[in-house]
Amino acid sequence: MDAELFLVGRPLGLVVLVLSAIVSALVAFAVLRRGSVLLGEWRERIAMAKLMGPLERLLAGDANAAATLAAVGRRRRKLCEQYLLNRLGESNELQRERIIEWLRRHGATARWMSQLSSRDRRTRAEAAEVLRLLRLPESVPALVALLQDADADVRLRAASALSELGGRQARDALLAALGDESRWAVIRVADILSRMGPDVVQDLIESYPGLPRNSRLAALDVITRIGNDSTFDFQLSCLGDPDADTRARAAAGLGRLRLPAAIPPLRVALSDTEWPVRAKAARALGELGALEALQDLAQSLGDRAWWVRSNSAEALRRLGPPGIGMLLRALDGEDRFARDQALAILQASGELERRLRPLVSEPGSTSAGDLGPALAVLTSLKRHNTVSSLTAMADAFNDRRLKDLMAA
Amino acid sequence: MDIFKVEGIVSVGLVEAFNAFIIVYFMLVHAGLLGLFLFSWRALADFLRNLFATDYAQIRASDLTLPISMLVPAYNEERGIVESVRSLLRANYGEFEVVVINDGSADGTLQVLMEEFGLQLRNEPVNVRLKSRKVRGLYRSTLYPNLVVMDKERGGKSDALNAGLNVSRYPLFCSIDADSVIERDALLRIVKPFIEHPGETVAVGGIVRVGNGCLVRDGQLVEARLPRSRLAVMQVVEYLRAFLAGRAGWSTVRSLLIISGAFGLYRKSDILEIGGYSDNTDTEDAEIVVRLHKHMCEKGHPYRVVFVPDPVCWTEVPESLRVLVSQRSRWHRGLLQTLWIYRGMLFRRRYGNIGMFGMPWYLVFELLAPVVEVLGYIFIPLARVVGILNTEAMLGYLLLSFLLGTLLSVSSILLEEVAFCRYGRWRDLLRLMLYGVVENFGFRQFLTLVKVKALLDAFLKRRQWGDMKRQGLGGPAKPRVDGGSTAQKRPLAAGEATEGTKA
Repeated sequence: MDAELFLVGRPLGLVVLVLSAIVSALVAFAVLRRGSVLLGEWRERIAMAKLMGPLERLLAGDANAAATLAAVGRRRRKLCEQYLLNRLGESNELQRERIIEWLRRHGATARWMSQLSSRDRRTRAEAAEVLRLLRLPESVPALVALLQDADADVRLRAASALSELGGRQARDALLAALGDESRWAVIRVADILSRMGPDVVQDLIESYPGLPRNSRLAALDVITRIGNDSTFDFQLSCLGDPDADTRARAAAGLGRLRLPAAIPPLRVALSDTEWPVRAKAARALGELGALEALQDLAQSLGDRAWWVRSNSAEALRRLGPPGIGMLLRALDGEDRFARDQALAILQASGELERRLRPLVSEPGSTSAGDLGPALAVLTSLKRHNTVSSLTAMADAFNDRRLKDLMAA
Repeated sequence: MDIFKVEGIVSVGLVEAFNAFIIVYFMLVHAGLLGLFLFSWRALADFLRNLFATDYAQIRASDLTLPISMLVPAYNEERGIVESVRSLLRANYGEFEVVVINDGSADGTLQVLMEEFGLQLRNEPVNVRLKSRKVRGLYRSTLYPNLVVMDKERGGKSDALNAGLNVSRYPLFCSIDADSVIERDALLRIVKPFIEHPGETVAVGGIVRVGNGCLVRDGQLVEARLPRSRLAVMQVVEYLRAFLAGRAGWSTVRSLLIISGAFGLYRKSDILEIGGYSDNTDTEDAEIVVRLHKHMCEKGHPYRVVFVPDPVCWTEVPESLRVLVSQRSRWHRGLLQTLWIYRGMLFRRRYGNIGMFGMPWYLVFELLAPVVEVLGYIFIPLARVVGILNTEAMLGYLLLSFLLGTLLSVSSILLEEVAFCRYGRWRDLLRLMLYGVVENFGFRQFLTLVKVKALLDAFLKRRQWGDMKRQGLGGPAKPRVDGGSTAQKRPLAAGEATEGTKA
């Protein structure tokens, strides 16, 4: 073997030396970094303790405190800014004005405005976040411009800041932001709009037809979340939309409105071609307490899609005794899926236990009238043998009669 | 060394060729590991850069967030189970349920659960979608409506998970070890890929950290501390290396082969579709992920199996050599079994990066690495004996090997320090750095031998589980009644903890 080929001799020693140096440097870096972080935190705490008094006096309107704070250096001024921003949320109007005035006078607001056009996306996003807290009217044009930012998070924070400022411009901007490609952004814009209350509903309905698909879905989300009765007709029209996701959202929204007029169209939606629509319609019928939909829901227990079966079973449970009756009947049905789903919801709700309880009660304490239904349930379960733990259940109860029944 | 008559015993040419092979292999392994480290570093940097944009409160509040069933198989876990379940019940998440599966424990696991959570036997038949051993009873808590405890006959961890899947209600499920404690926001963090890519994400792994020595109160981690036991600290280094410098990188190159059984989130429908967990390997967590990859690739749908570095699960690791040996043997055997079962995926384009890159790497540089390493320890001195290498070169290679291993360990600790800084005490940082160096001198070589033994065991069809004496995370241990419990320990799937293969 050619020794030089494998770095034997001086080159190998050099590699070893370099590696040792790198390892030592990494260890030193970790230790020094930790030290510098802790030192920075300690210095910050000390500085903050000294600044706290003047800052609180500033909030109370003490002019001397403002003068004291004007003399602090750049690093401490940043601490003051952070402290004042943190206090914004709990301040009254007067204190708020004092905070903004102080920040303006020391160039902080101008700096944040200029940071909106920073090359670093994080800086832009953080500046928008600060401006949201400050609600400065002069920041509106810059924030509107930011809605065209290349970064979804920055766009979103700008939209959020605009929502705090209110007004037509902010609303339009948020409606436009609904069309964002980022799923996160759309979720968060919808969240902001729904917090703006019923005022935005009419705007959303008016702009709805012209919006791209994803924005329409988000708009519909906002409308259903706000849940205003005046949107009933609009939501009903969405239930007939060619897009399945739109129909599904409309079905869910109609359930939340709790208007009986929604029951007939929702019953029709139970036989939609798409499972998400059927699932949402089933849940909505349960929320509406639609007793007239009992048969439809019982039929949906055997749907091909798990969510439809699950929601139908849950809806039947919500309908009370008539619905429970349907579920018990399903236990004896031929459809295995319907049986499983009915069983799942009956057990989760504790209904099954209530029905079977008479079988394990002390002899004499149970009337024949109670025992009959319990036996019927047990027989249904046994007949189809869809469950594994019936025998285990009998063992756990350690009840002779139940064991005999199981063995029979 | 002419005095030795080497010729006739072993050919010098063979020694020379094998020596060259070992050195090339050694260089390739370390180049690969350093490359993987760079991928991990990049992935973590990207992750941290984007972290500020994530509002977890919105994930929690959103209707679009999927509910989760947490499955906790427990076998003889009476010491730690209460803390674990408490920590799970306090998870900061919208809709979730906790399903504890008492897998035929011989100790008081079920009793402590009954006392602590007011369990009542509920006569709930189980909807069987996956086969499992006989279920003795299903209990619900009178205090927590989202706590279910299933008592079943002993069937092993995969059997317990399958039984838990039968009882679970939600479309996502999270497998969690009973000796582990998850952080409050862990579910919010681990579910994020399912929200970002709902159609594609099928499985997500979180980071598992060593909980020995940590301060845990009421099921919540109060302060991360290093364990006193030296063996456990070395495992802290290993875990950091495996997760931060390994899995983050594997995830980036879409070749994540292992999601720790201690903390992983899966889409239930896919797991039901592939028939649930299998007990035909010793490491069910590795097997199921490889099977999931296979299934998704064969279906031809785009899919994602990802690692997220900030949802944290704190787990208890062995503090005795005997248990560690047993655990690592099992992991390595499990890797062998998994690679053998799915050998058909190797070098097949159909299986994408997993078939072309992930599995071949695990085969050549993880599974077989210990064998090559041990042969290296034999052949390099032999090369010195037959005069191919001089003493200086031999020692140089060994030193180089130790240094590269140390570089990887120290870099991983640095990643942890810069990105997460979980160990706040100075003493812990210094100890970690020290052990990052020390573990390369003896401990890793010891584990290499353990792995070679594991391969031998596998060929001889010997199989055993580790008996681990649980202390339980958080608080002093309660007096034990019996003599120890059997743990089916999990994650760092085989080989991953080793990384360095030395010649």
